[in-house]
Amino acid sequence: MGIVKVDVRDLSWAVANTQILVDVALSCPNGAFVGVVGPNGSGKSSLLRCIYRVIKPGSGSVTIDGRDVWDLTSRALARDLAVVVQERPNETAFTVREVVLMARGPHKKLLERDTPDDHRLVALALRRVGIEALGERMFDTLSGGEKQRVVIARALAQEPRVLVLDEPTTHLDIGHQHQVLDLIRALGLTTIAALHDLNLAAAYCDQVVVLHRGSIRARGAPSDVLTADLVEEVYGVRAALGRHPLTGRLHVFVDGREGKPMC
Amino acid sequence: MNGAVPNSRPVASGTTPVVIGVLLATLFVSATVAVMIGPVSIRPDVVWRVALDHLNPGWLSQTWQAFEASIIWEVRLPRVLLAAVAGAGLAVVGATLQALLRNPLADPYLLGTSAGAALGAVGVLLFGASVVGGLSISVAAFLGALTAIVAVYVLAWQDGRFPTGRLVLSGVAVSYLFSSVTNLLIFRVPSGEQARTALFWMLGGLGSARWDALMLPTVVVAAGTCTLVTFARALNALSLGEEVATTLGVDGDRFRRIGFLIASLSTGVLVAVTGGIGFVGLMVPHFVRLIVGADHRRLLPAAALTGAIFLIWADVLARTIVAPEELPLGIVTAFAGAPFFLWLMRSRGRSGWAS
Repeated sequence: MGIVKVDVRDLSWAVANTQILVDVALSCPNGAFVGVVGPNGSGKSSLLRCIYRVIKPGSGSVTIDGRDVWDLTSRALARDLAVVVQERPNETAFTVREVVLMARGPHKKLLERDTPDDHRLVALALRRVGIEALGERMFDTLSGGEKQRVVIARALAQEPRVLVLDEPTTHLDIGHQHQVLDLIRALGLTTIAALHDLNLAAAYCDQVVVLHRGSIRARGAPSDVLTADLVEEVYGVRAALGRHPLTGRLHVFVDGREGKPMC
Repeated sequence: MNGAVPNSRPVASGTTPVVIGVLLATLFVSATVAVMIGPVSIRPDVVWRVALDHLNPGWLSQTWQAFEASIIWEVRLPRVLLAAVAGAGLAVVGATLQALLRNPLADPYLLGTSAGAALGAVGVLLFGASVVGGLSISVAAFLGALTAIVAVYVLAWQDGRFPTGRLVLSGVAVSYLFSSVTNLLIFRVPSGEQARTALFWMLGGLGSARWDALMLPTVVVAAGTCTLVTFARALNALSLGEEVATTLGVDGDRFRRIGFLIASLSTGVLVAVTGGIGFVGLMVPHFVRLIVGADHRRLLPAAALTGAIFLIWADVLARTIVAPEELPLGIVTAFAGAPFFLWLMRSRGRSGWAS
């Protein structure tokens, strides 16, 4: 299974004269975990949507192993790249297993049936995220966290080489947040994830990209990028950096109560 | 809704061939019995001997009366077949639109088709063919449907796509506009009898069923259903949302366009022949979803067969309850179908949209 490199070059995108993304560039090397952080409205989701080819940027390019995503069909892209998005369907009448089985679609020819291999991959994906017992449940009846894990299982069953995740830990309790990110790290896929929680970003990412008002404010290893000044500037909260008492890892402490006014 | 009911799909996927087999057998029996029932009762063997004799003349020795053959071949069989085609088409289109629009209330007429067809048909019925250039009722109805559909898509069009919300809203608005004109025409017509005829057409019926009127709907519904079944995986993905579908390798825009084209064309052709038969396209997909689940690879074939069976029986009721008069079919479909559906919804508890 080959691992791939994702490159974003000089990406700009505007909607009705509002610049959403301005000259964004990032490189996600083979098998690396790149975290995209930044406040609400900084352009994280838009950047990811450009990468998974739902938004066509005004200028710039996204390439996977040197191939522009817009030169691929959606089927071809979906065989290489799986997406976990914030927006989830409600009001569906599908079971969990059916939702995860949809991951096999891009690997199928027209009218090709599901094979035992497909069912095995689905069962494996459900087991990996710890919801094998929920396979026959109706998707709609699950809790937010369970749904999130179903969507992650679907991404796994897609057998991608690149994972793009938009807030994959939203709706998860702290235990499952770490379980899911541990799992994603262990997969060793080239991964780009938008994350709200700076401490999760510090713990799991090889590289962090800080977006602020559509531009990249900083990028690099978490310990180099996540400074008190930067967190204060970008998020408008007072911040201090320290070490986690258990792990010794970088930890960001914030106090928003006397923070600077949002600008 | 009902805590004792497991939150899982009622039928496992392995049983699908059984469900389809049972539905096919039921369809065959229903069609046979429906041809037997009427002012003149006909034996089941005669039904199929006459049909086979027409397909291959002289093959069977004639054991039936000439009038029986004429009743079967000229009147009842085309009517039963039209019921089957219309029921299947409306159910498949309803299921498709519910997935594409991600709206459980979507039905084949949501996007203006029946309101447009009604205006065309009522125009001819009330003012005579001469006013609209010598068109037959069904041609005028089809043109009306086409006008309404085009208006809906043009109004919903934005930045090269048809956003779901705009499509539903323009469908509803255009429907109301066309209906208001139709109602004005009916209200202003001096003769109550004419108004009754117009109302009868709008509520749907299969009285116009003849072999030559059967051809086009059959071809369109069959081709449309087959195409949609081949796209069943894409429909599954699209019912999770357009963006999710794209990430699962489905070209959302393209499939939506094909889906809407098939849905509009099938509905337009059907409504032109049968008028606006309500309930089938809305409720049969929900009913079938409760039985076989939401996967369109199972849902679409099962919905087609169930819609066909349902409409065959609804039409039998429509032409026998007040015989020799006929009830509009739309009245029967809703009156018979709604209580049954509600009973099923409450007894199956949580599954599908009806949870």
